[in-house]
Amino acid sequence: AESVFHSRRRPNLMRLIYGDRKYTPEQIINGDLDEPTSKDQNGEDSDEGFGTGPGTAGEESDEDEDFLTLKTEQTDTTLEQMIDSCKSTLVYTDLDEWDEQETKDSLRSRFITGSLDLPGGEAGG
Amino acid sequence: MNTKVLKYEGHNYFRQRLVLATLSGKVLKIEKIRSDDTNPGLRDFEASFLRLLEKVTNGATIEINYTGTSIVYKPGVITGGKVHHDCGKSRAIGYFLEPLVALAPFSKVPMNITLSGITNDNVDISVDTIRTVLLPQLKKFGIEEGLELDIPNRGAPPNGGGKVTFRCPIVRTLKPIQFTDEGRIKRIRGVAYCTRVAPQFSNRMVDAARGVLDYVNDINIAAVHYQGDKSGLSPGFAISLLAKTTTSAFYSAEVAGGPGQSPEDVGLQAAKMLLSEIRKGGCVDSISQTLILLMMVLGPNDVSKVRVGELTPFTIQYLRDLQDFFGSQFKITQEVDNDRTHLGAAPNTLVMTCVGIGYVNTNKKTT
Repeated sequence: AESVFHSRRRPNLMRLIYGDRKYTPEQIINGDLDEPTSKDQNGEDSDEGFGTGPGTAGEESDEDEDFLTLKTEQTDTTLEQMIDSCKSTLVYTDLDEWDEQETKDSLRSRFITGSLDLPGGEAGG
Repeated sequence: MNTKVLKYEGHNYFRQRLVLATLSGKVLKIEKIRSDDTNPGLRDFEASFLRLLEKVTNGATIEINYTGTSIVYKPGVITGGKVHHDCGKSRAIGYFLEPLVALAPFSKVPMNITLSGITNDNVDISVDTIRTVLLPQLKKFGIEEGLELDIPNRGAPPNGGGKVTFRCPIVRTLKPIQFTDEGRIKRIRGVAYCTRVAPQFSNRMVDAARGVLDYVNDINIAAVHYQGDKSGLSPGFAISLLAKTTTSAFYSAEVAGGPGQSPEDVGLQAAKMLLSEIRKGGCVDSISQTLILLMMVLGPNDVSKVRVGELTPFTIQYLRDLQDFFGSQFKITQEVDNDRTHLGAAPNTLVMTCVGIGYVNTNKKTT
């Protein structure tokens, strides 16, 4: 399943970032991409692509999805985005997993002390 | 591009756009800054950042409309020199220092900037992380001699009172980088500090963090207790951790403690965040992604290549802004290594490739 996920995602990352910019950065990271079938560019919002489309505060209706722009991002996103800090992305919520020895062991091969023969375990999140 | 004015909306990504405009010399217009907010317009820290930008440049004009909801910024030249700036209490020093790090190498005379305010909090990256993580990244691009950040005084929120001095050499051009081998982690370093609380707080944070990071023996986390006038105006404690690999890639994490938190919790949380950061892999951690990518774009007309872990939303917007200001696109290749053929590497990383625009610091005289 993981490979399927990545094969779907791999060719798209550049286009998602540099394409018509209809997705906010958060959506790209979270994989929260509606209508994955219409990856092709829809044509609108090409005036420099700065996300100045007509989407407004009344988001969440389906038509507005296409126009998801900076404007909606401003009202739509979490507090972290509002504070303009690259550190905001470091706030993890699932830190408890590191209490499990298994999770900790999965990182062992990343250290020079770890054995090179170990197959590392599953580190994917 | 129909005009030379770049227009944006909203207050997000305020600093990076001003920095990119300054570097590229393009006129920047930002509209609708919190125009729907009950308290519209620029916040005090944003205005403060504009003032700082005026101090380190010459010839810049900033027009702000009456309500503060739109600004037009015409950049000048980066002059640098000796500057002092009070960062206030709404944002930490990192908010101001982080963009300065990107500007400083391209200044006319070397920057020597003293910033006062809050040194560590949980919103902006701390001065420790800037010193131990961001500045070493610059060295990879050939910015080395005299690059330093002194932290004589600490200042915890809410009242701050800390002071740092940032000195950066100037360069004419950058070197391209090829950094795709992330290596394996060989040592862990860190700083734990406390001010106006029991001196044992530092040691307790260190002990808790060490307990989690039992992968390598080479762990050295300095426990510092600031006293007297070096300790700022508020009680506080924080820890900043750094893992360094055999190829000098860094991973970092930091947590500042607040009221009611025990130092053990803070140490544990920082250590676990470091592990999460390590798991993401790549040669560059999340905090330094934007700086590295910017320096790659500004590099000579040569290919730069770097391996990163997962991109952050902040970085994605940065990539878009880089394209707007400099017209450069990154080639992003996703490498999935499920079989772990390259032992020790993270399973999922991205290789970012770009050709530098050959940025030349015309302010620096050639000798």
